[in-house]
Amino acid sequence: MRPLAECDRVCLEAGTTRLVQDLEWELMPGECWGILGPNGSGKTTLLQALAGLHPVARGEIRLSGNPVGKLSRKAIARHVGLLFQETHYPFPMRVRELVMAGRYAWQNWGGASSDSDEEIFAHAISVMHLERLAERHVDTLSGGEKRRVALATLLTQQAGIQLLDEPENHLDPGVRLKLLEGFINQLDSNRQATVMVLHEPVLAVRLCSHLLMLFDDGSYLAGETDRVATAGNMTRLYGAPFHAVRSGKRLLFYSG
Amino acid sequence: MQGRLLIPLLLLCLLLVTLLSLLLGSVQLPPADIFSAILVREETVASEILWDYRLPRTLFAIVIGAMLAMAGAMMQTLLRNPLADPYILGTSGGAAVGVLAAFYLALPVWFHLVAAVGGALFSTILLLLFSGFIRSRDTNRLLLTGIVLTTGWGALITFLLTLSPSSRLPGMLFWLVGDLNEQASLSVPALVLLLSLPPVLLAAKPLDILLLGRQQAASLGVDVARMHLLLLGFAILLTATAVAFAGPIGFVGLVAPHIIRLLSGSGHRLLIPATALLGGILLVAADLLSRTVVAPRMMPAGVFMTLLGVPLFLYLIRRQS
Repeated sequence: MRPLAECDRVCLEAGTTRLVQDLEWELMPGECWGILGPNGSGKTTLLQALAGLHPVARGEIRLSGNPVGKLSRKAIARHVGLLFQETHYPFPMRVRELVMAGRYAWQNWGGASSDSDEEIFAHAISVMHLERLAERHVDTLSGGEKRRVALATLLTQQAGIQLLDEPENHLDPGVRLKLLEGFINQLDSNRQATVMVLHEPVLAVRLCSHLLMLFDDGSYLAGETDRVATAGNMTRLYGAPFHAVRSGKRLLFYSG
Repeated sequence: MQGRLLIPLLLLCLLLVTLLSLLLGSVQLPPADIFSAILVREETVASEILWDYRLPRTLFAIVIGAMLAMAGAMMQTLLRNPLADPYILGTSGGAAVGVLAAFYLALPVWFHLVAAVGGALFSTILLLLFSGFIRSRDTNRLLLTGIVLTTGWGALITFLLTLSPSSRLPGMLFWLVGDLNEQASLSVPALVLLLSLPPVLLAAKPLDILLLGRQQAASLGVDVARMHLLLLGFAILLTATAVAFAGPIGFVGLVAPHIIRLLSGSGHRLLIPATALLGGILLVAADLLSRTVVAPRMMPAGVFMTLLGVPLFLYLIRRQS
Protein backbone atom coordinates (compact mmCIF):
# COMPACT_ATOMS: atom_id res chain seq x y z
CA MET A 1 0.00 0.00 0.00
CA ARG A 2 1.21 3.50 -0.85
CA PRO A 3 1.52 6.08 1.93
CA LEU A 4 -1.12 8.84 1.85
CA ALA A 5 1.45 11.38 2.97
CA GLU A 6 5.23 11.41 3.31
CA CYS A 7 7.49 13.94 4.97
CA ASP A 8 10.98 13.78 3.48
CA ARG A 9 13.50 15.53 5.77
CA VAL A 10 10.96 18.30 6.41
CA CYS A 11 12.04 21.37 8.39
CA LEU A 12 9.44 23.91 9.46
CA GLU A 13 9.82 27.49 10.55
CA ALA A 14 7.35 30.11 11.77
CA GLY A 15 8.83 33.52 11.11
CA THR A 16 12.37 33.17 12.43
CA THR A 17 11.51 30.43 14.94
CA ARG A 18 12.75 26.98 14.01
CA LEU A 19 10.19 24.28 14.64
CA VAL A 20 10.46 20.56 13.87
CA GLN A 21 13.68 19.61 12.03
CA ASP A 22 14.39 16.82 9.55
CA LEU A 23 11.06 15.09 10.01
CA GLU A 24 10.88 11.67 8.36
CA TRP A 25 7.34 10.42 8.60
CA GLU A 26 4.78 8.38 6.67
CA LEU A 27 1.04 8.17 6.96
CA MET A 28 -0.61 4.93 5.83
CA PRO A 29 -4.33 4.35 5.18
CA GLY A 30 -6.25 3.26 8.26
CA GLU A 31 -3.85 4.90 10.69
CA CYS A 32 -4.84 7.47 13.27
CA TRP A 33 -2.02 9.69 14.45
CA GLY A 34 -2.03 11.99 17.43
CA ILE A 35 0.42 14.89 17.44
CA LEU A 36 1.47 15.88 20.94
CA GLY A 37 3.82 18.62 22.06
CA PRO A 38 4.15 21.71 24.20
CA ASN A 39 2.79 25.08 23.02
CA GLY A 40 4.80 26.50 20.15
CA SER A 41 6.38 23.19 19.13
CA GLY A 42 4.86 23.41 15.64
CA LYS A 43 1.87 21.07 15.85
CA THR A 44 -0.53 23.41 14.02
CA THR A 45 2.19 24.48 11.58
CA LEU A 46 2.80 20.85 10.65
CA LEU A 47 -0.91 20.32 9.95
CA GLN A 48 -0.98 23.45 7.80
CA ALA A 49 2.15 22.37 5.92
CA LEU A 50 0.49 19.00 5.19
CA ALA A 51 -2.50 20.93 3.79
CA GLY A 52 -0.22 23.09 1.65
CA LEU A 53 -1.09 26.20 3.66
CA HIS A 54 2.37 26.72 5.16
CA PRO A 55 5.60 26.43 3.17
CA VAL A 56 8.30 24.00 4.31
CA ALA A 57 11.68 25.60 5.03
CA ARG A 58 13.48 22.53 3.71
CA GLY A 59 12.57 19.04 2.58
CA GLU A 60 9.44 17.89 0.78
CA ILE A 61 5.92 16.81 1.63
CA ARG A 62 4.28 14.38 -0.79
CA LEU A 63 0.60 13.47 -0.96
CA SER A 64 0.09 10.03 -2.54
CA GLY A 65 3.50 10.53 -4.11
CA ASN A 66 2.89 14.05 -5.48
CA PRO A 67 4.86 16.98 -4.08
CA VAL A 68 2.29 19.18 -2.38
CA GLY A 69 3.60 22.35 -4.07
CA LYS A 70 2.85 20.91 -7.52
CA LEU A 71 -0.83 20.20 -6.81
CA SER A 72 -3.69 22.65 -7.42
CA ARG A 73 -5.74 23.79 -4.44
CA LYS A 74 -8.61 21.59 -5.56
CA ALA A 75 -6.38 18.53 -5.88
CA ILE A 76 -4.91 19.14 -2.43
CA ALA A 77 -8.44 19.46 -1.02
CA ARG A 78 -9.25 16.00 -2.39
CA HIS A 79 -6.17 14.61 -0.61
CA VAL A 80 -6.34 16.61 2.62
CA GLY A 81 -9.12 18.14 4.71
CA LEU A 82 -8.40 20.35 7.70
CA LEU A 83 -10.44 21.13 10.78
CA PHE A 84 -9.20 24.48 12.08
CA GLN A 85 -8.83 25.31 15.76
CA GLU A 86 -11.39 28.07 15.54
CA THR A 87 -13.86 29.21 12.90
CA HIS A 88 -15.43 32.62 12.51
CA TYR A 89 -18.48 33.51 10.41
CA PRO A 90 -18.98 37.25 9.79
CA PHE A 91 -21.91 36.74 7.39
CA PRO A 92 -25.17 34.85 7.87
CA MET A 93 -24.83 31.29 6.58
CA ARG A 94 -26.90 28.17 6.98
CA VAL A 95 -25.56 24.89 8.33
CA ARG A 96 -26.53 23.21 5.06
CA GLU A 97 -24.48 25.66 2.95
CA LEU A 98 -21.49 25.25 5.21
CA VAL A 99 -21.55 21.45 5.26
CA MET A 100 -22.06 21.36 1.48
CA ALA A 101 -18.94 23.53 1.04
CA GLY A 102 -16.99 20.33 1.63
CA ARG A 103 -18.17 19.09 -1.77
CA TYR A 104 -16.52 21.97 -3.66
CA ALA A 105 -13.29 20.09 -4.29
CA TRP A 106 -15.22 17.37 -6.14
CA GLN A 107 -17.47 19.63 -8.21
CA ASN A 108 -16.77 20.96 -11.68
CA TRP A 109 -17.26 24.53 -12.89
CA GLY A 110 -21.03 24.53 -12.78
CA GLY A 111 -20.93 23.33 -9.20
CA ALA A 112 -24.48 22.01 -9.16
CA SER A 113 -25.24 19.56 -6.37
CA SER A 114 -25.71 16.03 -7.66
CA ASP A 115 -27.71 13.22 -6.03
CA SER A 116 -24.61 11.67 -4.52
CA ASP A 117 -23.76 15.05 -2.97
CA GLU A 118 -27.12 14.95 -1.22
CA GLU A 119 -26.44 11.43 0.06
CA ILE A 120 -23.00 12.39 1.33
CA PHE A 121 -24.51 15.43 3.00
CA ALA A 122 -27.22 13.38 4.72
CA HIS A 123 -24.62 10.89 5.96
CA ALA A 124 -22.35 13.61 7.37
CA ILE A 125 -25.27 15.30 9.07
CA SER A 126 -26.38 12.08 10.72
CA VAL A 127 -22.88 11.09 11.91
CA MET A 128 -22.57 14.48 13.61
CA HIS A 129 -26.20 14.45 14.88
CA LEU A 130 -27.06 17.70 13.11
CA GLU A 131 -30.35 16.66 11.47
CA ARG A 132 -32.38 19.17 13.44
CA LEU A 133 -29.95 22.03 12.84
CA ALA A 134 -29.50 21.77 9.05
CA GLU A 135 -31.54 24.87 8.19
CA ARG A 136 -30.32 26.97 11.11
CA HIS A 137 -27.96 29.94 10.73
CA VAL A 138 -24.49 29.11 11.97
CA ASP A 139 -24.22 32.22 14.12
CA THR A 140 -27.15 31.02 16.23
CA LEU A 141 -25.32 27.80 17.20
CA SER A 142 -23.32 27.08 20.34
CA GLY A 143 -19.56 26.49 20.23
CA GLY A 144 -19.98 22.73 20.39
CA GLU A 145 -22.62 22.73 17.65
CA LYS A 146 -20.36 24.83 15.41
CA ARG A 147 -17.60 22.29 16.02
CA ARG A 148 -19.88 19.47 14.88
CA VAL A 149 -20.79 21.49 11.77
CA ALA A 150 -17.08 21.91 10.96
CA LEU A 151 -16.53 18.16 11.44
CA ALA A 152 -19.51 17.44 9.16
CA THR A 153 -17.96 19.70 6.49
CA LEU A 154 -14.80 17.64 6.75
CA LEU A 155 -16.86 14.48 6.26
CA THR A 156 -18.46 15.74 3.05
CA GLN A 157 -15.02 16.71 1.76
CA GLN A 158 -14.11 12.99 1.76
CA ALA A 159 -10.41 13.72 1.63
CA GLY A 160 -7.90 10.92 2.10
CA ILE A 161 -6.29 12.58 5.08
CA GLN A 162 -8.30 14.17 7.89
CA LEU A 163 -6.28 16.76 9.76
CA LEU A 164 -7.92 17.79 13.03
CA ASP A 165 -6.50 20.71 14.98
CA GLU A 166 -7.63 20.34 18.60
CA PRO A 167 -10.89 18.65 17.60
CA GLU A 168 -12.02 18.42 21.21
CA ASN A 169 -12.34 22.25 21.44
CA HIS A 170 -15.81 23.33 22.60
CA LEU A 171 -17.04 19.72 22.81
CA ASP A 172 -18.57 18.61 26.10
CA PRO A 173 -16.47 16.06 27.99
CA GLY A 174 -19.43 13.70 27.87
CA VAL A 175 -19.70 13.55 24.08
CA ARG A 176 -16.24 14.38 22.77
CA LEU A 177 -14.97 10.81 22.83
CA LYS A 178 -18.12 9.40 21.25
CA LEU A 179 -18.17 12.08 18.53
CA LEU A 180 -14.51 11.73 17.64
CA GLU A 181 -14.69 7.93 17.69
CA GLY A 182 -17.78 8.16 15.51
CA PHE A 183 -15.86 10.37 13.11
CA ILE A 184 -12.83 8.06 12.93
CA ASN A 185 -14.86 4.86 12.72
CA GLN A 186 -16.86 5.85 9.67
CA LEU A 187 -13.69 6.54 7.63
CA ASP A 188 -12.67 4.05 4.96
CA SER A 189 -9.55 2.37 6.39
CA ASN A 190 -8.36 1.37 2.91
CA ARG A 191 -8.29 4.95 1.68
CA GLN A 192 -8.42 7.34 4.59
CA ALA A 193 -6.41 8.25 7.67
CA THR A 194 -6.54 10.79 10.48
CA VAL A 195 -3.95 13.08 12.03
CA MET A 196 -5.01 15.11 15.06
CA VAL A 197 -3.34 17.65 17.26
CA LEU A 198 -4.39 17.00 20.85
CA HIS A 199 -3.63 18.62 24.18
CA GLU A 200 -4.76 15.72 26.32
CA PRO A 201 -2.39 12.72 26.40
CA VAL A 202 -5.25 10.62 27.74
CA LEU A 203 -7.42 11.41 24.73
CA ALA A 204 -4.51 10.75 22.36
CA VAL A 205 -3.79 7.34 23.89
CA ARG A 206 -7.45 6.45 23.74
CA LEU A 207 -8.08 7.51 20.13
CA CYS A 208 -4.82 7.14 18.23
CA SER A 209 -3.01 4.13 16.83
CA HIS A 210 0.19 6.14 16.50
CA LEU A 211 1.72 9.18 18.18
CA LEU A 212 4.05 11.86 16.87
CA MET A 213 5.69 13.84 19.66
CA LEU A 214 7.19 17.20 18.76
CA PHE A 215 9.79 18.34 21.28
CA ASP A 216 10.79 21.89 22.12
CA ASP A 217 14.22 21.55 20.53
CA GLY A 218 12.94 20.54 17.07
CA SER A 219 13.46 16.81 17.56
CA TYR A 220 10.60 14.35 17.41
CA LEU A 221 9.53 10.85 18.29
CA ALA A 222 7.11 8.83 16.19
CA GLY A 223 5.69 5.36 16.64
CA GLU A 224 2.84 3.14 17.69
CA THR A 225 0.96 4.44 20.69
CA ASP A 226 1.67 1.34 22.80
CA ARG A 227 5.39 1.79 22.26
CA VAL A 228 5.87 5.57 22.69
CA ALA A 229 3.16 6.49 25.23
CA THR A 230 5.27 6.18 28.37
CA ALA A 231 5.45 8.37 31.45
CA GLY A 232 9.11 9.05 30.64
CA ASN A 233 8.33 10.33 27.12
CA MET A 234 5.45 12.49 28.38
CA THR A 235 7.71 13.98 31.06
CA ARG A 236 10.35 14.80 28.49
CA LEU A 237 7.73 16.17 26.08
CA TYR A 238 5.98 18.57 28.42
CA GLY A 239 8.90 19.38 30.75
CA ALA A 240 6.84 18.40 33.80
CA PRO A 241 6.66 15.11 35.70
CA PHE A 242 4.03 12.69 34.34
CA HIS A 243 2.87 9.42 35.84
CA ALA A 244 1.04 6.55 34.23
CA VAL A 245 -1.65 4.40 35.77
CA ARG A 246 -3.41 1.43 34.29
CA SER A 247 -7.16 1.14 34.70
CA GLY A 248 -8.35 -2.11 33.22
CA LYS A 249 -7.06 -2.14 29.64
CA ARG A 250 -6.66 1.67 29.59
CA LEU A 251 -3.56 3.69 30.18
CA LEU A 252 -4.06 7.03 31.91
CA PHE A 253 -1.57 9.85 32.42
CA TYR A 254 -1.58 12.57 34.99
CA SER A 255 0.91 15.28 35.75
CA GLY A 256 2.21 16.48 39.11
CA MET B 1 -36.51 34.38 1.31
CA GLN B 2 -36.29 32.01 -1.64
CA GLY B 3 -34.49 33.11 -4.78
CA ARG B 4 -37.40 32.39 -7.06
CA LEU B 5 -39.42 34.87 -5.02
CA LEU B 6 -36.79 37.53 -4.40
CA ILE B 7 -35.72 38.23 -7.98
CA PRO B 8 -39.26 38.64 -9.39
CA LEU B 9 -40.12 40.84 -6.42
CA LEU B 10 -37.11 43.06 -7.07
CA LEU B 11 -37.93 43.21 -10.78
CA LEU B 12 -41.44 44.30 -9.90
CA CYS B 13 -40.10 47.02 -7.59
CA LEU B 14 -37.71 48.14 -10.30
CA LEU B 15 -40.56 48.36 -12.79
CA LEU B 16 -42.69 50.37 -10.37
CA VAL B 17 -39.96 52.80 -9.44
CA THR B 18 -39.02 53.19 -13.11
CA LEU B 19 -42.62 53.98 -13.96
CA LEU B 20 -42.75 56.55 -11.16
CA SER B 21 -39.50 58.02 -12.36
CA LEU B 22 -41.02 58.44 -15.83
CA LEU B 23 -44.26 59.95 -14.49
CA LEU B 24 -42.81 62.40 -11.98
CA GLY B 25 -40.20 65.08 -12.24
CA SER B 26 -39.33 68.72 -11.78
CA VAL B 27 -41.76 69.52 -14.58
CA GLN B 28 -45.27 68.26 -13.83
CA LEU B 29 -46.93 66.47 -16.71
CA PRO B 30 -50.34 64.81 -16.70
CA PRO B 31 -49.89 61.00 -16.57
CA ALA B 32 -52.14 60.67 -19.61
CA ASP B 33 -49.63 62.66 -21.69
CA ILE B 34 -46.81 60.42 -20.51
CA PHE B 35 -48.70 57.23 -21.33
CA SER B 36 -49.63 58.49 -24.75
CA ALA B 37 -45.99 59.45 -25.28
CA ILE B 38 -44.97 55.90 -24.35
CA LEU B 39 -47.42 54.41 -26.81
CA VAL B 40 -47.10 56.77 -29.76
CA ARG B 41 -44.05 58.73 -30.72
CA GLU B 42 -45.13 62.24 -31.45
CA GLU B 43 -43.34 65.56 -31.34
CA THR B 44 -44.92 66.74 -28.08
CA VAL B 45 -43.31 68.27 -25.01
CA ALA B 46 -44.25 65.22 -23.00
CA SER B 47 -42.67 62.94 -25.57
CA GLU B 48 -39.49 64.96 -25.61
CA ILE B 49 -39.22 65.02 -21.81
CA LEU B 50 -39.94 61.30 -21.63
CA TRP B 51 -37.72 59.96 -24.39
CA ASP B 52 -34.86 62.44 -24.31
CA TYR B 53 -34.74 63.19 -20.64
CA ARG B 54 -36.50 60.99 -18.10
CA LEU B 55 -36.02 57.57 -19.71
CA PRO B 56 -32.27 57.86 -20.39
CA ARG B 57 -31.77 59.35 -16.94
CA THR B 58 -33.70 56.51 -15.29
CA LEU B 59 -31.81 53.83 -17.22
CA PHE B 60 -28.56 55.54 -16.33
CA ALA B 61 -29.51 55.53 -12.62
CA ILE B 62 -30.36 51.81 -12.80
CA VAL B 63 -27.00 50.93 -14.35
CA ILE B 64 -24.93 53.12 -12.01
CA GLY B 65 -26.83 51.91 -8.94
CA ALA B 66 -26.36 48.30 -9.97
CA MET B 67 -22.62 48.82 -10.48
CA LEU B 68 -22.09 50.52 -7.14
CA ALA B 69 -24.13 47.93 -5.27
CA MET B 70 -22.25 45.05 -6.90
CA ALA B 71 -18.89 46.66 -6.16
CA GLY B 72 -19.93 47.02 -2.51
CA ALA B 73 -20.97 43.38 -2.21
CA MET B 74 -17.68 42.27 -3.77
CA MET B 75 -15.58 44.47 -1.46
CA GLN B 76 -17.45 43.00 1.50
CA THR B 77 -16.69 39.46 0.39
CA LEU B 78 -13.07 40.34 -0.34
CA LEU B 79 -12.50 41.89 3.07
CA ARG B 80 -14.98 39.62 4.89
CA ASN B 81 -16.59 42.64 6.45
CA PRO B 82 -20.14 43.93 5.92
CA LEU B 83 -18.88 47.49 6.50
CA ALA B 84 -16.56 47.48 3.49
CA ASP B 85 -17.69 49.83 0.73
CA PRO B 86 -15.73 51.52 -2.05
CA TYR B 87 -16.94 54.92 -0.86
CA ILE B 88 -15.90 54.46 2.77
CA LEU B 89 -12.59 52.79 1.94
CA GLY B 90 -11.42 55.58 -0.34
CA THR B 91 -11.70 53.76 -3.67
CA SER B 92 -14.34 56.20 -4.92
CA GLY B 93 -12.30 59.14 -3.65
CA GLY B 94 -9.21 57.98 -5.53
CA ALA B 95 -11.27 57.59 -8.68
CA ALA B 96 -12.80 61.04 -8.15
CA VAL B 97 -9.39 62.68 -7.84
CA GLY B 98 -8.35 60.94 -11.05
CA VAL B 99 -11.43 62.25 -12.86
CA LEU B 100 -11.06 65.79 -11.50
CA ALA B 101 -7.41 65.82 -12.50
CA ALA B 102 -8.51 64.82 -15.99
CA PHE B 103 -11.14 67.61 -15.89
CA TYR B 104 -8.49 70.06 -14.75
CA LEU B 105 -5.99 69.09 -17.42
CA ALA B 106 -8.84 69.31 -19.97
CA LEU B 107 -8.17 65.77 -21.12
CA PRO B 108 -10.66 64.14 -23.52
CA VAL B 109 -13.77 62.61 -21.93
CA TRP B 110 -12.80 58.99 -22.62
CA PHE B 111 -9.72 59.61 -20.50
CA HIS B 112 -11.93 60.24 -17.45
CA LEU B 113 -12.55 56.51 -17.24
CA VAL B 114 -8.86 55.66 -17.47
CA ALA B 115 -8.06 58.26 -14.81
CA ALA B 116 -10.83 56.92 -12.58
CA VAL B 117 -9.53 53.33 -12.85
CA GLY B 118 -6.01 54.56 -12.14
CA GLY B 119 -7.12 56.55 -9.10
CA ALA B 120 -9.25 53.71 -7.71
CA LEU B 121 -6.44 51.19 -8.20
CA PHE B 122 -3.89 53.47 -6.57
CA SER B 123 -6.16 54.15 -3.60
CA THR B 124 -6.85 50.43 -3.10
CA ILE B 125 -3.14 49.61 -3.19
CA LEU B 126 -2.49 52.32 -0.58
CA LEU B 127 -5.34 50.94 1.53
CA LEU B 128 -4.06 47.37 1.53
CA LEU B 129 -0.47 48.48 2.05
CA PHE B 130 -1.03 50.82 4.97
CA SER B 131 -3.81 48.96 6.75
CA GLY B 132 -1.71 45.79 6.79
CA PHE B 133 -5.01 44.04 6.24
CA ILE B 134 -3.66 41.14 4.21
CA ARG B 135 -1.50 40.06 7.15
CA SER B 136 -3.37 41.19 10.22
CA ARG B 137 -7.04 41.04 9.14
CA ASP B 138 -7.61 43.94 11.52
CA THR B 139 -10.92 45.49 10.51
CA ASN B 140 -10.60 48.59 12.68
CA ARG B 141 -7.27 49.47 11.12
CA LEU B 142 -8.72 48.89 7.66
CA LEU B 143 -11.67 51.21 8.26
CA LEU B 144 -9.46 53.86 9.84
CA THR B 145 -7.03 53.72 6.94
CA GLY B 146 -9.93 53.95 4.50
CA ILE B 147 -11.40 56.96 6.29
CA VAL B 148 -8.02 58.71 6.37
CA LEU B 149 -7.56 58.03 2.65
CA THR B 150 -11.06 59.36 1.94
CA THR B 151 -10.19 62.52 3.90
CA GLY B 152 -6.96 62.87 1.96
CA TRP B 153 -8.73 62.49 -1.37
CA GLY B 154 -11.28 65.06 -0.15
CA ALA B 155 -8.49 67.58 0.46
CA LEU B 156 -7.03 66.92 -2.98
CA ILE B 157 -10.48 67.38 -4.49
CA THR B 158 -10.84 70.78 -2.78
CA PHE B 159 -7.34 71.65 -3.98
CA LEU B 160 -8.22 70.81 -7.58
CA LEU B 161 -11.53 72.65 -7.37
CA THR B 162 -9.83 75.77 -6.02
CA LEU B 163 -7.39 75.77 -8.89
CA SER B 164 -10.03 75.25 -11.55
CA PRO B 165 -11.51 78.14 -13.56
CA SER B 166 -14.80 79.29 -12.07
CA SER B 167 -16.67 78.70 -15.32
CA ARG B 168 -16.19 74.93 -14.96
CA LEU B 169 -16.86 74.78 -11.22
CA PRO B 170 -20.64 74.21 -11.16
CA GLY B 171 -20.33 71.22 -13.50
CA MET B 172 -17.47 69.75 -11.51
CA LEU B 173 -19.30 70.25 -8.22
CA PHE B 174 -22.49 68.64 -9.45
CA TRP B 175 -20.56 65.71 -10.84
CA LEU B 176 -18.81 65.41 -7.48
CA VAL B 177 -21.93 65.04 -5.33
CA GLY B 178 -23.48 62.48 -7.63
CA ASP B 179 -25.40 64.08 -10.41
CA LEU B 180 -27.18 61.87 -12.90
CA ASN B 181 -27.47 64.49 -15.62
CA GLU B 182 -24.76 62.86 -17.71
CA GLN B 183 -27.31 60.81 -19.63
CA ALA B 184 -25.63 60.68 -22.98
CA SER B 185 -23.12 58.08 -21.88
CA LEU B 186 -25.23 55.08 -20.96
CA SER B 187 -23.50 52.61 -23.25
CA VAL B 188 -20.07 52.38 -21.58
CA PRO B 189 -21.34 51.84 -18.02
CA ALA B 190 -23.93 49.35 -19.29
CA LEU B 191 -21.22 47.45 -21.16
CA VAL B 192 -18.95 47.32 -18.10
CA LEU B 193 -21.85 46.08 -15.97
CA LEU B 194 -22.80 43.36 -18.44
CA LEU B 195 -19.20 42.24 -18.79
CA SER B 196 -18.72 42.04 -15.02
CA LEU B 197 -21.76 39.92 -14.23
CA PRO B 198 -20.87 36.57 -15.87
CA PRO B 199 -17.39 36.05 -14.36
CA VAL B 200 -18.60 36.98 -10.88
CA LEU B 201 -21.69 34.76 -11.17
CA LEU B 202 -19.61 31.84 -12.45
CA ALA B 203 -17.45 32.14 -9.35
CA ALA B 204 -20.47 32.21 -7.01
CA LYS B 205 -19.62 28.94 -5.29
CA PRO B 206 -15.96 29.62 -4.47
CA LEU B 207 -16.94 33.15 -3.41
CA ASP B 208 -19.42 31.68 -0.91
CA ILE B 209 -16.64 29.52 0.52
CA LEU B 210 -14.29 32.50 0.62
CA LEU B 211 -16.56 34.00 3.30
CA LEU B 212 -15.23 31.34 5.67
CA GLY B 213 -11.80 32.95 5.57
CA ARG B 214 -8.73 32.56 3.41
CA GLN B 215 -7.17 29.54 5.09
CA GLN B 216 -10.45 27.69 5.44
CA ALA B 217 -11.41 28.40 1.82
CA ALA B 218 -8.01 27.23 0.58
CA SER B 219 -8.30 24.01 2.58
CA LEU B 220 -11.66 23.36 0.90
CA GLY B 221 -10.05 23.72 -2.53
CA VAL B 222 -10.62 27.38 -3.46
CA ASP B 223 -7.89 29.18 -5.39
CA VAL B 224 -7.93 32.15 -3.03
CA ALA B 225 -5.45 34.37 -4.88
CA ARG B 226 -7.47 34.06 -8.09
CA MET B 227 -10.73 34.88 -6.33
CA HIS B 228 -9.18 37.91 -4.63
CA LEU B 229 -7.89 39.17 -7.96
CA LEU B 230 -11.32 38.68 -9.52
CA LEU B 231 -13.09 40.54 -6.72
CA LEU B 232 -10.57 43.35 -6.51
CA GLY B 233 -10.34 43.77 -10.28
CA PHE B 234 -14.07 43.96 -10.90
CA ALA B 235 -14.84 46.00 -7.77
CA ILE B 236 -12.31 48.59 -8.91
CA LEU B 237 -13.53 48.56 -12.51
CA LEU B 238 -17.19 48.91 -11.49
CA THR B 239 -16.51 51.64 -8.93
CA ALA B 240 -14.24 53.59 -11.25
CA THR B 241 -16.70 53.44 -14.14
CA ALA B 242 -19.59 54.53 -11.97
CA VAL B 243 -17.53 57.39 -10.52
CA ALA B 244 -16.24 58.50 -13.92
CA PHE B 245 -19.77 58.80 -15.29
CA ALA B 246 -21.89 59.72 -12.29
CA GLY B 247 -19.53 61.04 -9.64
CA PRO B 248 -18.73 59.41 -6.30
CA ILE B 249 -22.17 58.39 -5.04
CA GLY B 250 -21.80 56.80 -1.63
CA PHE B 251 -23.52 54.09 0.38
CA VAL B 252 -25.36 52.23 -2.42
CA GLY B 253 -22.71 49.54 -2.01
CA LEU B 254 -23.35 49.43 1.70
CA VAL B 255 -27.14 49.56 1.84
CA ALA B 256 -28.13 47.24 -1.02
CA PRO B 257 -26.05 44.15 -0.10
CA HIS B 258 -27.00 44.55 3.55
CA ILE B 259 -30.72 44.40 2.80
CA ILE B 260 -30.32 41.44 0.44
CA ARG B 261 -28.28 39.49 3.00
CA LEU B 262 -31.02 40.06 5.57
CA LEU B 263 -33.63 38.76 3.12
CA SER B 264 -31.87 35.80 1.55
CA GLY B 265 -28.49 35.08 3.12
CA SER B 266 -25.00 35.40 1.74
CA GLY B 267 -24.99 33.01 -1.25
CA HIS B 268 -23.44 34.88 -4.17
CA ARG B 269 -25.53 33.22 -6.87
CA LEU B 270 -28.46 35.22 -5.53
CA LEU B 271 -26.66 38.00 -3.70
CA ILE B 272 -24.93 39.45 -6.75
CA PRO B 273 -27.91 39.79 -9.13
CA ALA B 274 -30.32 40.74 -6.33
CA THR B 275 -27.91 43.35 -4.99
CA ALA B 276 -27.46 44.79 -8.48
CA LEU B 277 -31.24 45.06 -8.91
CA LEU B 278 -31.71 46.66 -5.52
CA GLY B 279 -28.87 49.09 -6.21
CA GLY B 280 -30.70 50.14 -9.38
CA ILE B 281 -33.97 50.55 -7.47
CA LEU B 282 -32.32 52.59 -4.72
CA LEU B 283 -30.58 54.97 -7.06
CA VAL B 284 -33.67 55.52 -9.22
CA ALA B 285 -35.61 56.23 -6.03
CA ALA B 286 -32.92 58.61 -4.77
CA ASP B 287 -32.85 60.35 -8.11
CA LEU B 288 -36.63 60.59 -8.11
CA LEU B 289 -36.54 62.24 -4.68
CA SER B 290 -33.83 64.59 -5.84
CA ARG B 291 -35.99 65.72 -8.76
CA THR B 292 -39.27 66.08 -6.89
CA VAL B 293 -38.70 67.02 -3.24
CA VAL B 294 -37.35 70.51 -3.92
CA ALA B 295 -38.94 70.87 -7.38
CA PRO B 296 -38.56 72.79 -9.58
CA ARG B 297 -34.98 72.87 -8.26
CA MET B 298 -32.98 69.66 -8.34
CA MET B 299 -30.73 68.07 -5.82
CA PRO B 300 -27.97 65.59 -6.74
CA ALA B 301 -29.03 61.99 -6.12
CA GLY B 302 -25.88 61.34 -4.09
CA VAL B 303 -27.22 63.55 -1.32
CA PHE B 304 -30.25 61.34 -0.70
CA MET B 305 -28.23 58.15 -0.95
CA THR B 306 -25.86 59.44 1.71
CA LEU B 307 -28.71 60.55 3.96
CA LEU B 308 -30.03 56.99 3.77
CA GLY B 309 -26.62 55.35 4.15
CA VAL B 310 -25.19 57.18 7.14
CA PRO B 311 -27.74 55.93 9.72
CA LEU B 312 -27.38 52.37 8.44
CA PHE B 313 -23.61 52.57 8.64
CA LEU B 314 -23.79 53.85 12.22
CA TYR B 315 -26.17 51.03 13.10
CA LEU B 316 -23.84 48.43 11.54
CA ILE B 317 -20.82 49.76 13.42
CA ARG B 318 -22.77 49.55 16.66
CA ARG B 319 -23.83 46.00 15.98
CA GLN B 320 -20.39 44.83 14.94
CA SER B 321 -18.56 45.98 18.05
